[in-house]
Amino acid sequence: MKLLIENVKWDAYLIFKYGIVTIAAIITALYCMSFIFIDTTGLEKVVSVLIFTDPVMYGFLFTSVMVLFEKDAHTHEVIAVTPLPVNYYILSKAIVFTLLALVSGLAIIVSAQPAYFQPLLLILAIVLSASLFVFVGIVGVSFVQNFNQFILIMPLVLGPACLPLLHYFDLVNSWMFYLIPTQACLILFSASVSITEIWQIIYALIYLIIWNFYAYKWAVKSYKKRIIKTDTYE
Amino acid sequence: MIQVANLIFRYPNQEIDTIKGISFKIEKGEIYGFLGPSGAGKSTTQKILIKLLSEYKGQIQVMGHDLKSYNNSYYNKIGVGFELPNHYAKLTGLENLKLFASFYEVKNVDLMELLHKVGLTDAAHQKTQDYSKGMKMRLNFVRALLHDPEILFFDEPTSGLDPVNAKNIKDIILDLKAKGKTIFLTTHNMHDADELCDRVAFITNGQIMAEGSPKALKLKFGKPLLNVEYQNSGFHLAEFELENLGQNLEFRNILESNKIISMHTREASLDEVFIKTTGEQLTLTD
Repeated sequence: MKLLIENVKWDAYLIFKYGIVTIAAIITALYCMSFIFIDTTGLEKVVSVLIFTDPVMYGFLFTSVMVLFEKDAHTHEVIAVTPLPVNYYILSKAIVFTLLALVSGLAIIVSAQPAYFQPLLLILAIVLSASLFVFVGIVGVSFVQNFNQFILIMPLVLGPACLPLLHYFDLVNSWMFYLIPTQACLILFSASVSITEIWQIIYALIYLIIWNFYAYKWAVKSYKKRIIKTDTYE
Repeated sequence: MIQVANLIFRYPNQEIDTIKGISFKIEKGEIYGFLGPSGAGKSTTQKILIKLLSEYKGQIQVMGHDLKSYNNSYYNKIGVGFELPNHYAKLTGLENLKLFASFYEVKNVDLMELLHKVGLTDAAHQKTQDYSKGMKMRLNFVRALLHDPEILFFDEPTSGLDPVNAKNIKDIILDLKAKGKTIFLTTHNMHDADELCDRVAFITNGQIMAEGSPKALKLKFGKPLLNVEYQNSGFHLAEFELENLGQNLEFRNILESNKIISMHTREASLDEVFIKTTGEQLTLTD
């Protein structure tokens, strides 16, 4: 646990040094300013989607960028020969980017001032969505060597991830959207700013926990297999 | 300290073994050189010894325990110096050391003292993205020492260094040996190996072709020679084996009929022994 805390501290320092915190702060400030000048009454769905895109961006895009920076600097091979376990490395990334997403998401919701607000559901929505996309980001980035290749695979992840928006904005209706984890993310974000049926909240929580568990396992395996290239993945 | 018996390793999805049943033993306080061309199995063997690869056959004992019995705490006991620079570019040299030091049990190592050892005191607060290749290599080297490990693995530790810094690194390696550290050195550089290693192993195609002290190998496989430079309507150079030199008519003839400019004995080099024992040329570009 001590090693995990040490790694979280260094990862937090590194994302600051890489300029990721500055970019996140600028994006958050832009969102906040928009909400200050716009009356969000009746726009709860838009507010939830905007907060949802934040964790997705932090989780997927920023994690991938950070791991690519590290790949470029070959620091993974050094980390692999320290006492830091691989799962701590992965969890540390998830913790740091989830914290960043939490700060950003809470700032946005405060500036949006929704009439209905469930803070616990918002926190759960951000934590479960951000961590899921960190794990998916690590899996994705394990297949590529540089940012150009990463740009090519981004639509493969973000495309399917955005499909539930069709259902969310009542454009297409199908139970199949419930198979896509971002449907569960959207339900939780929506539940934090508007009244939602309880079965939907339970579905979203259970489904995201299950997805997080398997995405974490997949991230650990991908990191070992394709990034530090060991021959034992469990 | 390290005992390897009949080590066999095959990468997943490959049809032949990369390591074909090698055995060797490294004593505590010994510098052991592992020499061979690219693809010979040097890196694979090192990756096995540093627990990056574990699906091997055979027995490996490190510090009296089966290598497979160690968990991640093994890395508190070993230090690894890589061939290529690998640092966080946005962090300073000192921050890089602090970052990695935070993962180890030993916390009281003076990081500035380590940087001083390799002449990086003035660059301690400089981002490593602004370091030269030589500075990065020195930081690589010193990072392997920051938790005072018992066993050190160095891959081409003098690569990219100027002669002064290369000498300094070699002196530090010898100093570590004097302190009882065990060192596994992977290199193409026969001169370094000759200078530093107590024993060396020549590896090609996953097999150890020869093993022993550089001196013993040179005596066994090489022939001491005498180089004679003489003048006879121009300068000429002749080479003679020292054995039965007194009976060598050509040598006696040169001595009697020419003006001798210089005569030097020359030991067989480790390069020559390598070629003789493995049938392969080892170059720095391998």
